[in-house]
Amino acid sequence: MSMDLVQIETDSSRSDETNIPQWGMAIDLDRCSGCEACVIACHAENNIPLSDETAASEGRTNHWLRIDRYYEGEFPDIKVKFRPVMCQQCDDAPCEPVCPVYATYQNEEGLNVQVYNRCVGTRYCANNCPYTVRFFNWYDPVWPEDLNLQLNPDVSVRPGGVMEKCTFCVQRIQRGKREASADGNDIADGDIQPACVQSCPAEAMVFGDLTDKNSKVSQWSQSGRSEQLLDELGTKPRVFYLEKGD
Amino acid sequence: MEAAVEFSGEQTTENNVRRDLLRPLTGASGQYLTAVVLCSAVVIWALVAWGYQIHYGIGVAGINRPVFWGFYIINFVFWIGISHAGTLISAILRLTDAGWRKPVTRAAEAITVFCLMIGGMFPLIHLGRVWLFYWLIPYPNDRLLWPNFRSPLVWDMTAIFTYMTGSVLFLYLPLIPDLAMMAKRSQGVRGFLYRKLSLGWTGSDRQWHAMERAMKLMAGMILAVAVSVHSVVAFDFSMSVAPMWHSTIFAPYFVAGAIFSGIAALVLVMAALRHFLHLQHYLRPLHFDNLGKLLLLMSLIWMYFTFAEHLTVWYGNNPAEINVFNVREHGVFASALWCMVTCNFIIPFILLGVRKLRTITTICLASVSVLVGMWLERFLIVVPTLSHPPLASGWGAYTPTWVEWSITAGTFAAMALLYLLFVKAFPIIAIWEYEDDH
Amino acid sequence: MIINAAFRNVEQVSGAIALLRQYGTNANQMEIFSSKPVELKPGVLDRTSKMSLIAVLAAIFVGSLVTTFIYYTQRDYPLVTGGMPLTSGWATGVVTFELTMAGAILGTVFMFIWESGLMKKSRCPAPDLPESGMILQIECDADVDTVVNMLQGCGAMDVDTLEKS
Repeated sequence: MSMDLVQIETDSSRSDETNIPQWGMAIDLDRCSGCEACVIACHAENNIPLSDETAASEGRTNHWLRIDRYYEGEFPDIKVKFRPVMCQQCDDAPCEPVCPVYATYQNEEGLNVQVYNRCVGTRYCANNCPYTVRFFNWYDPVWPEDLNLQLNPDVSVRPGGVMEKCTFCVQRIQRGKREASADGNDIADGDIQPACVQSCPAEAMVFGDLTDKNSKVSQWSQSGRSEQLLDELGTKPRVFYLEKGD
Repeated sequence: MEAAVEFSGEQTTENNVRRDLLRPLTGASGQYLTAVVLCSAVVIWALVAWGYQIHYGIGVAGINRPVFWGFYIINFVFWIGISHAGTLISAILRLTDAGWRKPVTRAAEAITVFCLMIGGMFPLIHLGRVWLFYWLIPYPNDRLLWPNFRSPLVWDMTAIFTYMTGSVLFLYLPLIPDLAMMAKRSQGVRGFLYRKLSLGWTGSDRQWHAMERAMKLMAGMILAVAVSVHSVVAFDFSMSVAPMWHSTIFAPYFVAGAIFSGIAALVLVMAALRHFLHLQHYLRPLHFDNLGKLLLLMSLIWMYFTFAEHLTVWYGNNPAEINVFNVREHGVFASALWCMVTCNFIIPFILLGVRKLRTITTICLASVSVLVGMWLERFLIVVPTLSHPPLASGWGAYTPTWVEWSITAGTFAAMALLYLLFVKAFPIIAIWEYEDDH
Repeated sequence: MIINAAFRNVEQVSGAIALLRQYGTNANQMEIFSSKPVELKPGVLDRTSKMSLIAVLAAIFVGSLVTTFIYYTQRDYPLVTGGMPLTSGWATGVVTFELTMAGAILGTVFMFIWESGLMKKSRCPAPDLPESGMILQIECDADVDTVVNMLQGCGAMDVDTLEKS
């Protein structure tokens, strides 16, 4: 299944010859300890507003990356499984065709990009996302004193009324490509790491080019343990979850 | 046609007809002025609430993640649904040449125009950045970007544009002879406006021919457009992959529901006109009885669709869908669901199905019940699905705030206000059409 | 000269029209004025109309214009799509349908205004509309007396003649 996906993609407009990388991520759930370091790293990297108790109780917290918990068994004999869920960067993303103003679309590197400036806030994309990983800015963002001085200059701060979501840290991808071309090198596997991947202490996440057969993400995604979230919907996600088949 | 003539019993002379139908246009009772002031106050309050929402951000409304659409979209579907009262019903009655339609059509067509004006506001009210709404319109712009014609929201926009244009003209054309007649009877600004609006109508046989032909053609077109408009509203939901939205039955289900609620609204408006404008002689028990039978028919059709939809989902037992089904059937939304079935099916079925019970009062009661039920139906379509997305970690709840309640109340007041003003400006029964029959 | 003859019912006015047409009066020179539509039998005073044709043509024109517009505006986006192409009959069908209907509606209304002669100055001044009955207006240049006699013979209640301005 996952092999077919990559095959199909490389056969079409995104071929090896054009040398356009196809970004993907793989997450080994058996390694994930649910520590949420990735969540914190994501917040810090991407200028995601902090939310207080009121916002949380109103269902208005924004976490581009969240840890879903699955419980097995009865208390006290209970087992918890964690699954970090972010935008799955679907190849056939349900959020894209419904946007009336092309604020979200697929770019040639397979990223499901969100153009904040174009968004008028119909929120249709968020309704149509089966993973519920799109977030809306209900108000203009505010940061507590001093924290407003630590914003990442590479990432735009989104105004109220627009949709946002995980970008696979597109600013890091751009920087990686820039640095590689300045040095005259190809981008090596592992050169580009989104904040979550970089901060994972268990090294449960890998990120890279799915067209590169030797990249870690290709190998992980093609392992027998790999699966995609809600793949029965046919959204062709770019995030692969590895789990022992039990 | 036969029935109407038979039923009318004593013949009213033309002078009496004009006197009766033109009387509401002059003077204003204390009751009328009070109603106008009250409705205006509520409308202004709603505008204040909307201004507050624009200023502070859409977060002042209760919508959240995952319930990204709430009261605004529910009201949108509700009002666009009611708008089918008019044009659709009057178009069907015109095409089938049902004589009893004549005192009813204009009241119905006016409902359509006002409901569309109100319903059409909601997609704007609900936008995160409403000041950029025009980005949905295709025009050459400095963003070098055309809209995405695959988006059901762009379909919505074109559908409402066509329906609005069509229904305004559908209301306006048969108004022209009455405007010409009133222009002769009025002076001052009013006379000037009537004269300008009547476009120099002289009542020649060419004009009558053109009118008849145009209205026949328009009736057919508006029928197709009305069906398509509510189908497009349904497509907003059914084009998505959300559980219990992605359903092929939605377009006809929505159209049936729209006609259903439209008839109910028409009955209530007619009862109000009959009572307050003393039109007992024109809006007769026959009209209510006929509309009551139509309402009963639509109630049965609605129940059939609802049953088919629920049975399919229940039997399919798809995990994501059955979650939504369960919260609707015996979860937090169960009371709303069974209330909806009672309001839309049980009450109208008893009140309208038993012939002895079918009087103007009970038809009105059934209509109120249907309007409540159909509002709940839209609520049950929008909220349970959104609050229960496929991944359970995303589940949420929805509580509307005072902003949403105020704006919702404001739209009902706006409807009443527009109607009050319309009744003062134009005869609510087409005088020439009525006279033509008697 | 313009002759305005008031009639009480449709039969009388139909008789008068038939007689006048035998006498050689052109249908374009006759017009009936009434405050509600007068139902004449087919053949008495038919008015040809191109309204349906123009409505269909306007529908086709606007519909194809819109479809072409959608195709050409979307064609320029070099976007990668997962499954659904940027233009397809299915997805643009709704917009095409709606604006086709808009074209038909506007075409109809245009033809209504055109064929009814509204917003245009007419050759003859229109008589005041009677509250009941109808007025037959005849534009004739010769034999005014004969026509007036014929009208009176057909049951006209009141016949006025006035000079063309």
